Amino acid sequence: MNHDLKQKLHEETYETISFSNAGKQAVLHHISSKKKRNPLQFLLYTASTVVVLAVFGAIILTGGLEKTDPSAVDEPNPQEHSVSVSEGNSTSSSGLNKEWTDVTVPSDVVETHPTSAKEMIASYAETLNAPVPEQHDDDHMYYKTIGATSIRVSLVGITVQGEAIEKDFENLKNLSILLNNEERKRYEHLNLDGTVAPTRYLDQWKEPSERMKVGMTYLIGLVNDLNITMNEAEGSPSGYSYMLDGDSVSEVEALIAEEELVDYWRDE
Amino acid sequence: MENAHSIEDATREETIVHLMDEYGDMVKKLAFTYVKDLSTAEDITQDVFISCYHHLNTFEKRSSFKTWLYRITVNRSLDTLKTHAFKKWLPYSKTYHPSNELTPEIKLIQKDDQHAVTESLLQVPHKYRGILYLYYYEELRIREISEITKLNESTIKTRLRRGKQILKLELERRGLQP
Repeated sequence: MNHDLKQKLHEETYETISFSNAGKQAVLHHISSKKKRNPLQFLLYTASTVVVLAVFGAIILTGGLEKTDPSAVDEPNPQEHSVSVSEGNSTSSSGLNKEWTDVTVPSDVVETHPTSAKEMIASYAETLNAPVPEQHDDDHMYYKTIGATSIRVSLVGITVQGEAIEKDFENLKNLSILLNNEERKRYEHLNLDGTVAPTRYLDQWKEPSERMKVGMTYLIGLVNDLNITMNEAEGSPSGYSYMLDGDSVSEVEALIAEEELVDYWRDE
Repeated sequence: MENAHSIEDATREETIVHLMDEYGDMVKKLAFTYVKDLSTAEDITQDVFISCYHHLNTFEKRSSFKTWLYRITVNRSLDTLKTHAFKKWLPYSKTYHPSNELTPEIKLIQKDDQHAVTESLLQVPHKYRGILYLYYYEELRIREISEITKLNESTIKTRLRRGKQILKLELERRGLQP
């Protein structure tokens, strides 16, 4: 296939691929602007540093910075982000109240993470169901567990109130911890000393355990169910949430209870 | 161009102009093979030559300029693939919206049976695809591919063999003679 393959590829596509003149010009422009800018940038940087230090020094010498009026500081207001929901039957089949409120304080949320419970659930419903990029074809579970870890981080800042929803969010947190625990078991045998990223040896990891596979199914299903109830998203309930009277919630909780969970993310 | 002597005599700018004329297309083709998107491949190509300019002084002539450029291109392309994968996990990023849509180039290629062989190659996972491209299209030797990718020769041979199998299946699936 050697010669034929090259010829075919060339005729079909590669013959037409060329580095544009505009691209070459952009490279030259970058090079020349870099050369011209460097000495000037250095001077500007030095000058501005001197000015900042001088101003700061003058403030200290003339009596220091004025004390800030405590009343002028913006206190986080949980209520500004609150959402109350009470739709349909407000009591779950397990007798839990389904009314819920988002009391998240946006400033408590980890940077770049969603700042409300609804946003967070919608975001993970989308990413967890997106196709796995081809570079992770060999290990889908590794890729999906990045999502589970990210949920754990997002949940640090997200707070919801309500009997049923609190139980669902607790299960969501525990599932993400469970998946992290199971992921550790995949590379424990390598005896890495903590200074080396385990992902460097991804090809030597053990296969995901059955518990991990089931846990991932539950996590994705629970996110799906929460998205249906909180964002009125389309789709079929998976049966893993209190909010939707899921008939498989007990399976989720039994899996979580099988082993003691260690929240490594918090310990580290 | 491989005669390094003439490059030594030229200024760095002249060298870059010369390298872009000589290898610009080659760099972009290789980047495209990895990232499957012409616009991204063009950006990577620019980035490769800018990086090359900044490191010309440290370039060791143990390898040729061609091999060196290939190596930078492979690394930049892999970085781009990784970054895209990571960004998919940034929830509600203001600058990036994960999309499952195919790039315009791939859509065009998939619509058209005239591009069946290219489409087949682009379906092969990238760790095999890049090596298949370097071996069959650029006609590099195993040793040269090993130098570019920093993988040992036996790994290259294994990936080449596995990549050929996948490509063969892809071609057969489209009713083409491998």
